[in-house]
Amino acid sequence: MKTRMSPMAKKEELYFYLFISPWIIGFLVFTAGPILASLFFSFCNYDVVTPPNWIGLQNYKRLFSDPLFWQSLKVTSYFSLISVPLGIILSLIIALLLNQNIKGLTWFRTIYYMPSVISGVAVALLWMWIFNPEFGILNFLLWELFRIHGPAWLMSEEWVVPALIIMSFWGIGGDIVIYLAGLQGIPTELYEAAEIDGANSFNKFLNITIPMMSPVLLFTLIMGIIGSFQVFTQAYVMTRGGPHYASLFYVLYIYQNAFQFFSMGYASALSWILFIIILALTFMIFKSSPLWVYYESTRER
Amino acid sequence: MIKGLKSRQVIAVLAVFTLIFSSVVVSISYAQKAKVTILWRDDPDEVPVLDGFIKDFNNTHPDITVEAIIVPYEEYDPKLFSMWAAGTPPDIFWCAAESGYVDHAIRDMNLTLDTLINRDKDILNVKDFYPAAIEGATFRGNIKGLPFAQAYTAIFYNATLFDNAGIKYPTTNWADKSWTWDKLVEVAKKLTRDINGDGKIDQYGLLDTRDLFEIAWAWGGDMFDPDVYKGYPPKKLALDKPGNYNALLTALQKRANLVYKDMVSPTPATEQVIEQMGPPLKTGRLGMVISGDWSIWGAMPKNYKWGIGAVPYSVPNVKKVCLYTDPMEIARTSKHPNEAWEFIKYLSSPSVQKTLMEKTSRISSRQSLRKDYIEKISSSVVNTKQELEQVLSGAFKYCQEDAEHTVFGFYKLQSVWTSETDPLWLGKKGAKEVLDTMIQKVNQAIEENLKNVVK
Repeated sequence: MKTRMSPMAKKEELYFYLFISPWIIGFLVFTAGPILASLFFSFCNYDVVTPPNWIGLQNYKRLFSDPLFWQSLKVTSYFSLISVPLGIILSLIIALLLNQNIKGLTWFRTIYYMPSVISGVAVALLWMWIFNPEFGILNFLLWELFRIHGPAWLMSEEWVVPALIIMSFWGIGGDIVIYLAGLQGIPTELYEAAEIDGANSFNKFLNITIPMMSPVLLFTLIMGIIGSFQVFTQAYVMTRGGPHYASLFYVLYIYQNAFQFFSMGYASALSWILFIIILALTFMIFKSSPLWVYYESTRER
Repeated sequence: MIKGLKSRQVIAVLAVFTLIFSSVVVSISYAQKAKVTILWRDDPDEVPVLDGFIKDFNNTHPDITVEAIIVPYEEYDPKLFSMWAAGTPPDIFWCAAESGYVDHAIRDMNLTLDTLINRDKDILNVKDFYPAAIEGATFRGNIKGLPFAQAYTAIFYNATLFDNAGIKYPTTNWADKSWTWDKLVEVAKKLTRDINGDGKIDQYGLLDTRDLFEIAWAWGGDMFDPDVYKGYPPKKLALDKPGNYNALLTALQKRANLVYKDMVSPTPATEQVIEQMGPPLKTGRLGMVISGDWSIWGAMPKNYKWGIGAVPYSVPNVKKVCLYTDPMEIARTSKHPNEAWEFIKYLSSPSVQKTLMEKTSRISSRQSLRKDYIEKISSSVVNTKQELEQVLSGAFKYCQEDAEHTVFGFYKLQSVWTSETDPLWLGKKGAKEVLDTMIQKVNQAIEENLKNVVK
């Protein structure tokens, strides 16, 4: 049914492009350009100062024989595998609690969200003190409450990643807010109907809350995984990847290669591999989503 | 009405012309003024001092405008390299972050200054600089920078803790043969104490902050071949030579012993704790620190007395410590090399150097200012002026420029050996096992470095 555009519509179209042009130009120049350039550099030796020279697939070949590449992948997966599910469970539990009808609810909500407002570096510095093996409040409490000599946390090969996982829960406020919004969107009549059928709270949670929340869970799962694969600030500020590469996160390794060793070509190759990994994970989660994500709208059709 | 409009138009036209004319005049006069940019790191102690110098220089040099570009430390090298890639390098830069002047020289980024130095030799008085400082700016026989800031290595100690333990201060005589590593450890043991009686040590005798290449020097070895320090990229570590290997092995063992056998140094975890409280020596929890003189930069806490001593002999007849020179370099592609030269010449002039010393309590690369330096710090240390003179003459005699500045691709090699030696410092692995893997890994990094740049 498309007819020729009226002059008015044409003008409107022109305005449309005019008004979104800052974004389009910004995207092309500052995002798409560098992305394409990094693809080119990943096939080159490039130290930024001297012109790049083409070396074909050598950077990618080097990846597979580079023990630090595998180490950084291991560290990142370890962190991701534990911190993402735990983070989701924790924030969902807190969201459920904050969804109750109790006094001072807004206060609690504010308190739980507040940490998310503080910037990454400040949080990292704060947690360095919390994890401080000698004066840190964590080891102090472990000793006072359980008579346990706490580990050296950030200075221990075994405990550095668990420490950073614990620290990652500092930022769950953002997820809590999303879950709260999701919880409040669940129609109360569903719960009422279930109650009439004699369901207890656990049944209600399992059969109503979880399915109704599943699209939100899908969203936070994907964002959580992407976020956990991009962990940088904590490791950069607190551990520099140490001790003995025990916290060498993938993005930190990219950063070191790019901006400290100036192996820009190798860093570009690393970045593209990360992109492919995240893409593959996201794709897999999306593919699996029909099995466990419930969309009201699809059911209605 | 029409008439009025016309006169208004005339005024408008006139105004436009004046504007154009004046802007042309301004831009001509501006074009005559050469603009020189200098890339600096965002250091709260350095920036105000630098700003003062720039202001003074711009006032006394009406045809030159110096402008500082200040970036955070960790962005210094990326900024320098990307400005270079964009074809607009800063006219003046230096080894403010991880890359040294040799890294710049191998990439052909900095100007060779010999001709200019020769031209201005009377004003510049090059002989006044410590020979080691000039050596620390030389690349394959050519001078690539003019020393601006300077630091030296010594033992810095908390004299109050010595008094409390009733022991003598360390000697200031670098040639004193009785001042050995074992003696140092013995002194450190007397300074190591559990003050509050909770069963945990809270005052340590010694913190040796020297890097691996420095302790290799101290034990009579070397991680690199001699020509590596002259600007030729290393092809491998020189640790395949038994003398060098054994020296570093002993050094690593002795260093680890400080923590786990002699119990005079903090573990890495405790060291981190101390560092979080401030510069280690100033926390009062350490008896002695072997480091650059930054241990005593700035104001020293008044509740303790402080002192400076000579670094001991680790092995007989061998002594070499690190010297840290920060030479100012000029970009090879600078549009105003002469004006940039004027500014770095100004920065290393005696009067500016003296101001720098007064404002930051740092030593100057100029030997003629040593007396002023001694005068300046003698009020905050227990040493006599003669003793300070002795410490400094040793520090500048038994020294070699920091390998971070003189060895190509140093930062990458250092990050490898730092990580590889972690298990030793954490008491998890032995020195030999750590050293053998470390050599292999660093050699790999050297190969990668070579592939990266040298064509």
